[in-house]
Amino acid sequence: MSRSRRLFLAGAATALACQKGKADPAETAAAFAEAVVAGSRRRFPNPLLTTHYGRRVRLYDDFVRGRFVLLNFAYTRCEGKCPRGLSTLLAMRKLLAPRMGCEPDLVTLTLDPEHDAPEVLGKYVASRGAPAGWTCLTGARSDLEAVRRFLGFTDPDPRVDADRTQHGSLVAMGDDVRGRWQVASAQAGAEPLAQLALRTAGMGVSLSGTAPSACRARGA
Amino acid sequence: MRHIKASTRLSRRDLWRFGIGIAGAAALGKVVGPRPAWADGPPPTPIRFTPFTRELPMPATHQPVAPFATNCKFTTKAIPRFYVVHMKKGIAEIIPGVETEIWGYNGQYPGPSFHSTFGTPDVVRQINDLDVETSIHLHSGHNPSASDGLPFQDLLIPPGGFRDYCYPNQPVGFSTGEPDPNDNATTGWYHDHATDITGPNVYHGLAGFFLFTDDLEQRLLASNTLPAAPFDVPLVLQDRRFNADGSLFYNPFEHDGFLGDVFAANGKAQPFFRVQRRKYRFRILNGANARMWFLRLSNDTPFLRLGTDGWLLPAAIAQNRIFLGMAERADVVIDFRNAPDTVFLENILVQDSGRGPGGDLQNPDTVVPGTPLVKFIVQGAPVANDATVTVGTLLRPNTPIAANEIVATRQFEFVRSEGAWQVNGLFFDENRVDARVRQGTAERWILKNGGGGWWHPIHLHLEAHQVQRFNGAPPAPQNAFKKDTTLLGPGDEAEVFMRFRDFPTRFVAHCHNIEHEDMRMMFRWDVV
Ligand SMILES: [Cu+2]
Repeated sequence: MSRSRRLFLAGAATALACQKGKADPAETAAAFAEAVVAGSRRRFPNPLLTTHYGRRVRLYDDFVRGRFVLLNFAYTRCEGKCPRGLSTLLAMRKLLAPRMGCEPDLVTLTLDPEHDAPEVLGKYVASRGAPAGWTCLTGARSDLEAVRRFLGFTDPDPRVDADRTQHGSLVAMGDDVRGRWQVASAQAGAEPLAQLALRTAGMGVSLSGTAPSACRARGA
Repeated sequence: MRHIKASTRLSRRDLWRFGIGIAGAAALGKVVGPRPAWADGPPPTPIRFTPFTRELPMPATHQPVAPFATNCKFTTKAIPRFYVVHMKKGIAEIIPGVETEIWGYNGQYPGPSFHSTFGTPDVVRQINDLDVETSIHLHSGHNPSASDGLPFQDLLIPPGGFRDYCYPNQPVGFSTGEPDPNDNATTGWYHDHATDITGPNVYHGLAGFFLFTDDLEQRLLASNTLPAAPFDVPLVLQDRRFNADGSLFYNPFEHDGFLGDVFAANGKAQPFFRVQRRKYRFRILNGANARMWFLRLSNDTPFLRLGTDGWLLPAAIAQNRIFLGMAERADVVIDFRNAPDTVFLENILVQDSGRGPGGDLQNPDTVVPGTPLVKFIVQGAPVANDATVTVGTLLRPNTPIAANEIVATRQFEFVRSEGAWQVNGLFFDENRVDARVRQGTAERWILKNGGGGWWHPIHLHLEAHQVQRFNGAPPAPQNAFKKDTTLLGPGDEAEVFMRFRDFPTRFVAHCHNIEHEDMRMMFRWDVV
């Protein structure tokens, strides 16, 4: 654990102590991760969401903690950009598998929770061949919006920000162990994204090389 | 000097006066501590300090070492100078009394300065002791692609690795027997350029001056036309933001452009500088990620502008105010001969968003007196035998690129799209060549701001470009000769001429709002 990470944990504990009496501490603890992102000291959102299987999960606890992960936003009624972006991300995972020892998890959060019920997302995943390690999440709009804002998939122009077609191309990739995060456009292409992912995970700059004995993306 | 307290009610004007700025003002009085998220921009630096209690630091100078085995090859017979630099973490006192971890060249922030001479090549071994990839660009340098410090995968220095940068330091055109010393650069800088992470790398400290000199400048110094060291002072202006523990704040999810709320000169927050009553030369560099500066002197005397970006102008001009986009430089003389005992270098620009300042380049939002960045304490009587440079003093001639040399016209539109940054609708892909130019020719490039109120300073590698028209009109006098970074405010369009000499293969052009650059507002162009 790095020095800065330890400091964060201490800081987070202080914050929780300060919030007693205002909100249920357990609820607050669950809504945000105790660990923080390097540099900004921000605690990762950890809302209760629902997978395309209907399982209740916590975003940080179940998909980010101790791992390397890819996060993006999409919605099933999106045409053009979302399917193209998803194809790129799925291809990128394949490029990473030889070096990482597995395809890193891809978590797709919906921009259209009123329409994208778990079963709708389930059909969507199935229509793409249901690749292992790809999870679609839905939930309360406010929770999903908080994640979107946290990841900076936003535009300072409110009109552009309200246009959800503007947010379907970005991917956040993060290594929770190193506390390092990057955001890029899926339109940059599978290979450049895979190279960036490798570097973000601290695994060098080359996609060619030997595979580890265990899956590096899942904290092994 | 008054001490700022959160409980004190300060006017917006006071906040500027004391260097807190608009973004910080909005949050004053709120509880400061670890926050899960914020709605109105990043949290203000929760550390208060009294400005002008620390002296302006002078960057150290890189010292040559004994020659070592290298793959660098030069066409000149001159014996190169060798340097070894370790990129590593270090501790800097940016805010008085506060220790901050930085990533620096030799662990220093700003990096030590190189002092290089045309005709003498340099070999610089850069050793990466950090845990991030790096690539070291020499901004204003004229270097082979492999030593330009480009964001290509095979050129990145991985953690634990090193790379030798081979700088020929030959006048542009040397390879064809037509060297043109009029294109010799003077005020360069070196900084990180690693793909997708240039923003955090530069922000944490990976930048320093790379100063060149040549016979022409030496004549100007020997004749006492220009002030010489120690009256020739590098001055890099940067903004930073801090966490409560003194560490640097940087949010990897913020891509509009990073803005700090603490203003550092040569790595020190709001320092003072003792000067004699004489002329001083300052190489002012905007080393910020996304903040622009509109500079004035508090005694309302003009700057004497010697140069723009890397190059001396044909003749010195007077400028009351100097606008600097990111990566732009102003080589200036400030004349303290008749100055009052205290003079402030102030930033009068109002900018509270990474998108850019308010207004446009022709009419930016300003507040006077603005934020004082450096306090000059002026001492003694006017000196005898001061440097003679004045308005109209001839400096470095310019060799214009003639319209009949132009063999092609290309347009590059810089636009925000889908939460990121594109050029002509495309993101940077190191394997895709977006322009192929013929070595030895010249082209007309139209650099166009794609709108949305965003500002983009556009940096073209390899050579200086010459601005022909800016929004259809002749460019401002300081921008009318050689530039390497042309600032596009909202709606702006620049027509530039550029030659492509000496070095074939791949180069890049990009926005120097580094967060935009990291989100791939960049394109590869090849000299073939
Ligand atoms: Cu830009």
